[in-house]
Amino acid sequence: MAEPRFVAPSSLEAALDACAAPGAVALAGGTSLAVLLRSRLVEASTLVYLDHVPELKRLRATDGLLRIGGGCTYRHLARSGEVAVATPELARVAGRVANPRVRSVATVGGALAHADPRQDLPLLLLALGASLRLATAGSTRELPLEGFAFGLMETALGEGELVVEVVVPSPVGRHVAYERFTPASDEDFPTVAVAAVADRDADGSLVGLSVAVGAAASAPFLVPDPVSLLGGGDPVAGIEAIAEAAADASAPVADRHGPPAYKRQMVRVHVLRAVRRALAQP
Amino acid sequence: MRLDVPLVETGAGAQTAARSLAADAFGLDEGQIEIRQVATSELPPDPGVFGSRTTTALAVALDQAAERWRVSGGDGELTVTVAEPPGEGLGSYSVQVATVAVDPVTGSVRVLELVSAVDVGAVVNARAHQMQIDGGAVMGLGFACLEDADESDGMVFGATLAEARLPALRDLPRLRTVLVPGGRGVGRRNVKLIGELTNVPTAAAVANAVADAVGVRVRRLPVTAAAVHAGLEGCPGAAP
Amino acid sequence: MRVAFTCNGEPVEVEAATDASLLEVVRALGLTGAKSGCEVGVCGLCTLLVDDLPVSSCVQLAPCVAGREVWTAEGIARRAPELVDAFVEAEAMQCGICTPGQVVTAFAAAAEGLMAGSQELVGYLSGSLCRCTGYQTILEAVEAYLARG
Repeated sequence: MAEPRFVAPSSLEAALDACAAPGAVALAGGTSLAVLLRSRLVEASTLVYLDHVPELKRLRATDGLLRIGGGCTYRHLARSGEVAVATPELARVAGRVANPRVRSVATVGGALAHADPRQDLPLLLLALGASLRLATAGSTRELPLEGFAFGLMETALGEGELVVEVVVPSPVGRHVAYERFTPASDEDFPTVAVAAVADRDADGSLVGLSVAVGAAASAPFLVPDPVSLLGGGDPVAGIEAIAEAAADASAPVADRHGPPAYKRQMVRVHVLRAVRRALAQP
Repeated sequence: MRLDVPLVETGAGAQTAARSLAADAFGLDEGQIEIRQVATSELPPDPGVFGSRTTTALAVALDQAAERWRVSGGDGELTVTVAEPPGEGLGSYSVQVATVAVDPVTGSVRVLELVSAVDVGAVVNARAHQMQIDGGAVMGLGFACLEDADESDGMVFGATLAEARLPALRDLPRLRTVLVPGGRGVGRRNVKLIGELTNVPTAAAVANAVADAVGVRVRRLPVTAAAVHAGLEGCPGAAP
Repeated sequence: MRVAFTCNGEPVEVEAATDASLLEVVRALGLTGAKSGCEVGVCGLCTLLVDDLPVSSCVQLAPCVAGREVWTAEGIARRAPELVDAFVEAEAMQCGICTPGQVVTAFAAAAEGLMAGSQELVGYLSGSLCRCTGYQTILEAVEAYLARG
């Protein structure tokens, strides 16, 4: 295939128009896409470079919502005062993804579109109850993040569609615990990762609990109805029930980190740890 | 004085060592000696930098060169070819002690400290010598805990450095060195080898430490959390 | 396509395939400090600065740097000779293949305001692999450079 055309639009409208062309592929940081292009897993007739689109770089906190432009980099999130105030764990995790070179250029929208189930940020966003604003040249729609990624590098993104904005609820009384299990090198993707988000009201009563598991299936997933599983009784038994449900819903693959049974057990262990931590915070 | 040597510098400091050893052998200051790496068109080839032979071979060669130089009057140009001296081969010894922390719930092994004891004669360049010790220990740590080409059914899944992980700075334990003097070396300076030494015992030290910590004996490398976990659950052979 | 950018303070214009990497382009300009290592952005051998931020030039498509400032180890050595001195004094290299990337990363670490002796610095440098040295001398060099202020 001949080398792709390369366009660098300077507005969202122009970017969406360019993405509407057949064979157009959106390019942000390129840290994942460049590898896919080189190995021919992705072929592009046009590369649409998004880094000069100002609408994608916006980041603001309004009315208990954090609105993150799809073109915001990990570095931007890590250093943002708004993120630090609204959802500090998001800033912390963003600041630790991969290495500084990735964080310089890789974007939230790109990470979500890439949909590697081992990635930290999509998992955390899932537990935070994020939703996405997607757009094509002729349409926009909003989707909850849950279900957006449904398989290995498979998402609900349509032809020519971009992740324009990620909307993250940031209510008062939210407690986030992120467990990232890297038994080998700290530089590696996690063998298993869990994000637990507990919401408490002013009295300290639990009003919401969300538990997301990563690297344990072809896409990150939410444990169904953890609040019911927690029940009103013995909290130890309740947390164990959540961990069991998470392990049941996992479909881990065997690799150098271990066989599926081991990974399933690590899901149990890390769900226990994450939920305990999220619930323990005052 | 200029010394032409068919010696390849790979970065470990062979030329620096040559200058130091030559200064001593010829009775000069290091600043008076120039080391020039020459091609095989000028001199017979040196077999190369392998088998940790460089420092010791250089020491013997330079001693002999200096001796013949003095005998010949100590002036002009002289070519000396040195064959391997007869006698017992030279070795160096290293003992490593690993301290590990094993999470009994996950099997995850964290190497907290690695102490390398090395028998030494004269250390030609302390900083370069220490780097060989540290570099070797970190390489050994990689063999012990991380590196896996992940070969299965004739296919290599550890195809890039993203899968076949090398130790990174963040992965390192505390590294400590104990130099044990009195080693038997060669040449006037009594030098020994250091190149391929501290990478050797590491995997065994780590595996022994794991066995000491939690009673699990891992016999395949790398030592993975999954393998330790399988041992803790009493399932022999469960790890891949 | 033609890509015009600033390289080590000088304007350059190259003809490059749209899917060529910045690494290929820079090396074709004779700036061979940046090395091809893993080719997937993990090892750090290819680290360059683009608009003051460290990037893996092996996965940075060349057209993306149009209009931007690119700095390589060669340029940084001229901008910060004390950084080079720190690496030389600490003997923070053996084979040297990772050294240009380590130097660029150290320069970026200073720009980020990272401090000698901090865990943050260790984390920052950890993305740059070395096989020879065991990292101790590299960390020493970078900390000496940062401590210099």
